[in-house]
Amino acid sequence: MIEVKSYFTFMHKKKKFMISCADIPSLAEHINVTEPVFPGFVEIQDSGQTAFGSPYEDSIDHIWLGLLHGLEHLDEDVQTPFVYQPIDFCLKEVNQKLVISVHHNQVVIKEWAFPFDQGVQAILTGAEEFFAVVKRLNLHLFKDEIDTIEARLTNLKAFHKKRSDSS
Amino acid sequence: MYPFTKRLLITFFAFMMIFVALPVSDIEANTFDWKIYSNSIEYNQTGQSFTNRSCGQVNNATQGFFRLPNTSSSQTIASYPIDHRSVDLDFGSCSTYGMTHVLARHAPEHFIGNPTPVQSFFNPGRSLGNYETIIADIVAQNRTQIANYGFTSNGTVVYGNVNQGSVRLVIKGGKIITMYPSGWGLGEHQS
Repeated sequence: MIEVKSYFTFMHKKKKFMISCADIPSLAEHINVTEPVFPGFVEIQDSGQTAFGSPYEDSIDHIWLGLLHGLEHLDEDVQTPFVYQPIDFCLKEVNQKLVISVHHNQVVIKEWAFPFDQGVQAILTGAEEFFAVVKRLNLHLFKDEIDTIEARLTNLKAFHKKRSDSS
Repeated sequence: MYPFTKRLLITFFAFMMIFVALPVSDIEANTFDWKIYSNSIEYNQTGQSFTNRSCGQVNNATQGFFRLPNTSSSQTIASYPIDHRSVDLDFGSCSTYGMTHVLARHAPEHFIGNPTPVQSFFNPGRSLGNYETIIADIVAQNRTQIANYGFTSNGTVVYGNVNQGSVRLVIKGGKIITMYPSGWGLGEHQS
């Protein structure tokens, strides 16, 4: 089973700490809802491998929007730039696998492969959980766009369910 | 043999000899401009070493240079008009966005440590004002893309140039998030 978890990261008195996306009371206590960016990381865990994770800590909101965009354009070579490092990531379907790759100067520096249907389903579930938290915390950056993002998620779920059922 | 063909062959073999003589490992090593140690960074070109700063020192330097009344993250240092709106360069914070983030993460004299896996630095010797000028120039060169996407939650990534190469500027929600060398100024982590 593939599990997807999201963590926000914070600095306090020179110490970094992380709060799980599931811990809404702690997030509400520490998050500044007016910020234009939210550091954190996403973990996509399958047996024996973890995609992204803490080494790829970045803007967690940007990673999630990039994952959604990647799922919407799987048949194109769409690269999402990281915010805090000169690297990009890309989602592709290769031989019934969902391949996530990290690129630097067009060279693949890291790559993970997951069973396609389970991988897509896990990412969509993780995205739903993340953007539900964004909405509940009322992060100002998303106030005009959260409805559109939710609609994109609904469309993606319907598209992949139909595709999975027909295969 | 025709003289032209002979000259062509000599030139070809000369190029081949130079190519074979180049050590591949040196070409790879040359892609790094910096060595990253636990408490400092070293510029390969000059051997200059820069000890990691604290975030407080970065905040003080930024407040002093731009003569700011306080160190509130939302304090705007510069505004760049785009259509009827403006993109703001805020004081920000070392770990998230704005001027202090650019300095704390990518200006060698102000780097505070905790490097990312792929970490890039500007060349040393730039003033704080010069970083602001680079931001202003890149914004001016990418007004249409910024107008279309720079005010969204996803934001936009735009590029400009300094003498050393390309620079990536990230804008989200109408705010300058960060800016760093793209494809040069790379640091090699030392174990």
